[in-house]
Amino acid sequence: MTTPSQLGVELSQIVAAVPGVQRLYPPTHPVIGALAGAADAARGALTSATESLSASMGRGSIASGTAASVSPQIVAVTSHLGEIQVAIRIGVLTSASAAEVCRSVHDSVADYLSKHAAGSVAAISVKVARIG
Amino acid sequence: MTVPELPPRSSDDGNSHEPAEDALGGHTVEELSDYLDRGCTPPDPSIDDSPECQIVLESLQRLRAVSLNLFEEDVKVESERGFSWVGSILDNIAVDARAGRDIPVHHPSPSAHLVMSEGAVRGLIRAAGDSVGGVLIGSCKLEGDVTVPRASVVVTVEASVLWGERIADAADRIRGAIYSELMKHTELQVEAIHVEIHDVLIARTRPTTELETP
Repeated sequence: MTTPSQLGVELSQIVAAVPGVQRLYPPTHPVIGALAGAADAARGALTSATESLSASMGRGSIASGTAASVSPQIVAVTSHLGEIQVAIRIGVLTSASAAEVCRSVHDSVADYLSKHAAGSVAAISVKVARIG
Repeated sequence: MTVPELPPRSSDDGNSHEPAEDALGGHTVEELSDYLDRGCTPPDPSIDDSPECQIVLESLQRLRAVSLNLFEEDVKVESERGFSWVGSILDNIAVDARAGRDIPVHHPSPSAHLVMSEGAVRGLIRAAGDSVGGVLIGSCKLEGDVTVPRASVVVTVEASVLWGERIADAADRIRGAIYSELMKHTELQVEAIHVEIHDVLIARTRPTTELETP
């Protein structure tokens, strides 16, 4: 099952590929940022614990899912009671219409979620933070 | 480049009490100017990942390009005043870059929450004005409730023009450039664009215009 953190990384790639998107910016909302940070910390702690357990049992460390291999979560994804919320901040190139790019980002994310995410989509927030 | 201390500029965005550096991730315009001097190295994520800081850096680059074309004497005399035009513009660049209010972007889906930051739109307006030859935007203000879809807004910009530019023509070009960009990128209902020329600056090479023709 795809975790919100993994989904965030996948959605980052989807958003970055939308024509007119200059770049993504990290989420600013303190709650979302804290949730993302807590998810990363929990994943790191779990990985460390598993590695320690594996080592104490005389096995090698696990090969997949290590915290270091996870990209920074730029698109914030939270899931509560099966409802998914996504928050995105982007910069838009001046050559494209910022409003149109904003809508395209939403549509691309909604399309991806409909195919790959378990649960309903409660909100997709897209904020154009810079044009230029 | 020294930045004189200036009183906060009044604004109707509800954030005028917020120190500009708070909105710039704790950075001051001076720090961002130094970062630009260093060629943005070593990379500082708190600046590189901040759209507000990036807007300020872009504006500083344009300001520097225009400043290079001014008589040193003119800049020196102006900077000796307590309220220099350079200091005023620097202060306004930081204030205008604040994220400010959320400006809605229409989408039919009920789960969609699409917005542009007011700072992004002010940055767009400033860049459009600065793109007009012989002009430098000092401040930019969006009046009206931009958080309401399709509400009418009035744009007011203060600008400086180089000596020799016909002020009325320059104002028309500024107005046209701003309107064009707002129509392209936003869904704002622009009721009016007011252009106030506050300074006339002396360029190193004075353009030959009708003003100088006997």
